[in-house]
Amino acid sequence: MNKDIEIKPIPKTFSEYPRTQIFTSEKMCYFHDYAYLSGKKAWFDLDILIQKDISDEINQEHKKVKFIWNYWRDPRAHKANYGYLTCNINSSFVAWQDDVGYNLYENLIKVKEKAFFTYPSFDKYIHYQCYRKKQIDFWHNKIAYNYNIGGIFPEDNMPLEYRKEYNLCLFNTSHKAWAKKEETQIELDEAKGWAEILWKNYDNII
Amino acid sequence: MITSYNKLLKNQNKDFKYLIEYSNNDDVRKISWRIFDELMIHYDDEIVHFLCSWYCHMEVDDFEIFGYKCFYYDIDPMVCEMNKKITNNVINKDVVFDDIQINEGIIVNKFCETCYPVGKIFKGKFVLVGSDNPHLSCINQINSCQQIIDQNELTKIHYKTTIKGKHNYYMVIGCNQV
Repeated sequence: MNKDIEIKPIPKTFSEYPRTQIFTSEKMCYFHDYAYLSGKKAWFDLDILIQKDISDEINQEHKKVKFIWNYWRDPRAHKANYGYLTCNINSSFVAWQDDVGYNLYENLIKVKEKAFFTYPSFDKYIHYQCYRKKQIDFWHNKIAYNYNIGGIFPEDNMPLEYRKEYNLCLFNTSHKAWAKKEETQIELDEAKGWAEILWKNYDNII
Repeated sequence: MITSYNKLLKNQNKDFKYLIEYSNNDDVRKISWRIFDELMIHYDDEIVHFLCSWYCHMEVDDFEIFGYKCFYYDIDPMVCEMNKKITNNVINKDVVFDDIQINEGIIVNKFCETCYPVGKIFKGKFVLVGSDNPHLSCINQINSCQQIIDQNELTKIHYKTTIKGKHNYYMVIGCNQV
């Protein structure tokens, strides 16, 4: 492995709370743990396929932390179901710079008891507490599509198709309890065809 | 005279009219009327704060007509935009996470099953109702009046009851003031 790659343990700041609440809350810790490092930063979920070079995306200016907006979802859904914790935000690929995002971490620390009681996932917390207060930004609409749903609602909603114009393909099956019954829920490691080939092409030693 | 419910229906975008209709379902009506009756019996206050108000047509047509000064708090911007068409004192805030000061009047929450216990945030006189609705969004499913009392740290109980509907509803009227 490249000697510049350092493997860090998963942050334990919120380990007093069950994993079923603010699932992947560890992500919030990165805005604190790496705030001292200047420059551009990003995280990626493991269950995504990177289809194109995303260096330009990461290297752009990030005045606020950038998340994925779920363009594959009907935008009316999160308006109609606001009180039902419907969420249109995805944190599979997030980028920021310097100490941007530290305020998000600080805010969660202040309200952690209420937040962990209320929100089952990190994305839902971000939607209802950070997006509502205009504390975050979003990527362009060709950054990611959903393997199990499609690209942009309503004109492009065929699951399982390869869309070459996008940077990333998400599988995003962690929300399956909230998903519509008719949606497919194929994980990255279950995918066949083009997705499996692309994923296996990753298999090389750095 | 046009009712507040009809005014909401008339003003709402057609894609979302079903939400107004749903907010007028049998269970919601039953609970709202019961809250009105019990509040009249147990409290003398004329200011009422409805937390997580949702569409407030029933409160407008019941409480406000009888002289109550009502405040309606909801996190949902669309709900608040619609409520402003039928009443004043609509506050688009999250009662759990935003900074809200309530110093007088009665605090009502009809939807304890959907949120963190408000008695841990506010002090005063309460009318609290929660249900055992199993929907995923009901993050705080309520299964007894005692659960409401404990969660909200109520120290004086005026009344408690169970109301049957599509779900079981538990109502507690009490205070958490020292």
